[in-house]
Amino acid sequence: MDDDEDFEALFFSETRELLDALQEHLNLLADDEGDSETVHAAFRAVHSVKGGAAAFGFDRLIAFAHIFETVMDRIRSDTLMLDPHVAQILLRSGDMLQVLAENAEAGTEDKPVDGLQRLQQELEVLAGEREDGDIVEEGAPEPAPAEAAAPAEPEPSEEEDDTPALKEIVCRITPEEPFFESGHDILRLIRAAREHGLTTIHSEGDVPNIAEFDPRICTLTWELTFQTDQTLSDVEEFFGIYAHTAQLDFFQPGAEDDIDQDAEAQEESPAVQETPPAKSAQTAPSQQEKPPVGPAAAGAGGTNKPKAPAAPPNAARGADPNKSLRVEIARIDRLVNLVGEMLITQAALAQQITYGDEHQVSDMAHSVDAMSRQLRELQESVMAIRAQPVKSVFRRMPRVVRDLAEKLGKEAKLELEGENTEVDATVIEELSEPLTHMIRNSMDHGLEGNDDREAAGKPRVGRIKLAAEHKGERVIITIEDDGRGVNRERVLAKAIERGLVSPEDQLSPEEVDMLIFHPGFSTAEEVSAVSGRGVGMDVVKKKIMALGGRCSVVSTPGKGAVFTITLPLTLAVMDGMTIAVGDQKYILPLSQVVEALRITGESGKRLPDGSSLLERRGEYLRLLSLRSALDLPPRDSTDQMAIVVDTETSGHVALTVDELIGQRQIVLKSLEANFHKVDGISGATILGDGQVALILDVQALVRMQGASAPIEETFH
Amino acid sequence: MSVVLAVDDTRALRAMLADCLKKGGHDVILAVDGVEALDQLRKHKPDIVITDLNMPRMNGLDFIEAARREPEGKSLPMLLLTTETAQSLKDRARAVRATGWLTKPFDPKQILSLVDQLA
Repeated sequence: MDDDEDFEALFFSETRELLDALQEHLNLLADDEGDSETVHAAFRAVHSVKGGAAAFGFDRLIAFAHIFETVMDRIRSDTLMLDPHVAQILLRSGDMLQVLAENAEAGTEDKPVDGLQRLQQELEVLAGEREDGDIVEEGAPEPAPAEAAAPAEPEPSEEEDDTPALKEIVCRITPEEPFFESGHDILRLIRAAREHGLTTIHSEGDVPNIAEFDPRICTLTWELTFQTDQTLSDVEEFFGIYAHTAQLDFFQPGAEDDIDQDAEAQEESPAVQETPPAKSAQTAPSQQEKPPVGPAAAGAGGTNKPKAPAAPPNAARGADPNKSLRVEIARIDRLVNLVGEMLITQAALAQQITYGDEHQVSDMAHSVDAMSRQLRELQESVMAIRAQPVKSVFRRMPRVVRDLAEKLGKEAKLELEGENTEVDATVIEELSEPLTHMIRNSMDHGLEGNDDREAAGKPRVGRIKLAAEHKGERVIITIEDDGRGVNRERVLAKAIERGLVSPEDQLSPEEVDMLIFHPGFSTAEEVSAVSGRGVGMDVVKKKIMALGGRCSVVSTPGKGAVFTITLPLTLAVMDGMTIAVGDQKYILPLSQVVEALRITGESGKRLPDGSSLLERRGEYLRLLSLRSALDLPPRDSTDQMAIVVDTETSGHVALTVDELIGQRQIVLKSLEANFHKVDGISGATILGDGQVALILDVQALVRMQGASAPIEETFH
Repeated sequence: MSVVLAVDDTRALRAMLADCLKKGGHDVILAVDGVEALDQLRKHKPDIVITDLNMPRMNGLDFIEAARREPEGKSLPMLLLTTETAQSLKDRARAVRATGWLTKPFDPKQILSLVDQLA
């Protein structure tokens, strides 16, 4: 059973890939950009899912995939026109297949699924198996899945004559022309038949003389007599594989009238073509009526286990411990090589240490150098294993745009660029939500209606471009639209109304644009089905920040807006700045550090409410003492360092620290997993000397220090 | 014990076939489609082939047709294992000289006894 579960996990992981690909093909088809190969590819994807599902007995999945496949087949054979209506149904069917697969994986295959019955009926109409008017409204009892999977209904077997006594069974076999050319060999047949109790062989017919001899044609008929405890159907099953290319007749000399009776039982054999009872002349193809799918499933025993919760229910895909990753072999090879090299370096080092004298210090230094170089490479290689193209997220977006276009009544076209840009797999998973949200935002707020666009002299169809590229150690993702740009007046009015800024503040246009990322800000005046769900761009920003990224917007009124997300390549390693406060070392994420300053006595100012400000080039920043944030006594010395950090929600804030130690790459360790969550601390790492250093969550620290989050960090 | 070439574009099915055949003591060679299968056929000269029908690049029927023209495939038992049931396809299978037609899902016992019987 363990094996079965492995296979199931494999099946589901492959199914996910297939369904992703299917989605892509269906999108192309719906956009009318597909060709016949796209239809084929979509058909094959559905077909493969069905094939796999059949192996594990997921009846609903099979039934739905079956009708879906039939429809795809009709499109493939040009029996069915692929018009927008059909395309819509196909898209929904792709989604449905995904839902059913997810249910099957979670072990909740029988969970009722909204709209399944209706969609299935719509497909049946397309498949020509149902009249258009015959769609039963939802709520009517759903047909049992087994009914739809009708071919899987096994014929009741009538296997009573299972007496241990030996019976005589005779089979006459006359090879037809393709027999020998199809890889059959009568000698092999006879050898194998011995195992089934073959006792005597008679041959009939004449061998033609050599001049007329055609090696493809067999003029002989063999009569094979078995003395066996097997049933007639067992023997027929043995011969089933030859039915394709030979005439077969069975007799049971001892029994009367029994052959008709057994003709039913022989349905059990999956390989057997329906053999006509008694001595009818030929296994005519037309007599093959019942597809032998079912009996095979019944006979498959282990592979067709009941759909008991074999796989543990994994509701959240992200938490799936069985999740696997496809990695190019070359990347693994590189790792193996590197580890080999490192072992050699290590051996050299060990030797140098054991027999070391003064002269060998330079050798050792050399080895250590080599080792650190190899380690760096090893680290990169390990990261590369987890790197995956952003394609998997990007290709869900055309769908989002299409659905929204329909809902909003706007036409829009999504362009994708740089889909093969690679990002750490953990980052990719987290990207889907913010990206979806940003696309929504562009669709809802950015793009004008088609008529407005025409009036403004723009192409009628709106354009959104989603692009990704690498820049140094980061990935840049941009979402560009050619809509109206950020409506600064409305944004500002809203921000003032919300008390985020005061009417007197002089904000630059860019600062106004950035307001849309402010927590609690959402320009949707009424709650629309699209973006006004109480979540605004601030949620996007929060999510991106949690990934160690940043986001920004550049808007040109009337021309459009470009949203930019920059992300680190991985979440497991980050650049940090090591600082000391009291007798502890801490890490600040380098991505948030703007600059470091030395504070002299005069540059700090104390406000009446107890908070402090730091003057920086004529501007004032909020000054926060890390000592007080960490509940340490204030330091005597006024000579302190201040690190200016970008908290995104509270603008730039200066943190006073005792000492600035330096920059380094750190490997993130989760505090929650190893200890428990601590406010103001986002994680931990281990320093070179073995000490644990906590990573400060600047955002949370500032919030905890009662920052009322002034948007603008500058006081003029 | 035989060398079996198993061809299927579905990874899970390949894995299951390989598992079943290996448990039966056979050596298994795998291929993901007809093109790869032809390559494997020439390279490894298997004793028997079990192939899927619907596959990208080259399907099972085209593969069998092509393999019959190869010296290694001339008299080789080559079984189709598929979910298809259409008679037209079965006729085509006969025409391209497929050894037999099996329907998915497969019965491991049956597969093993067929390999013993035919190879």
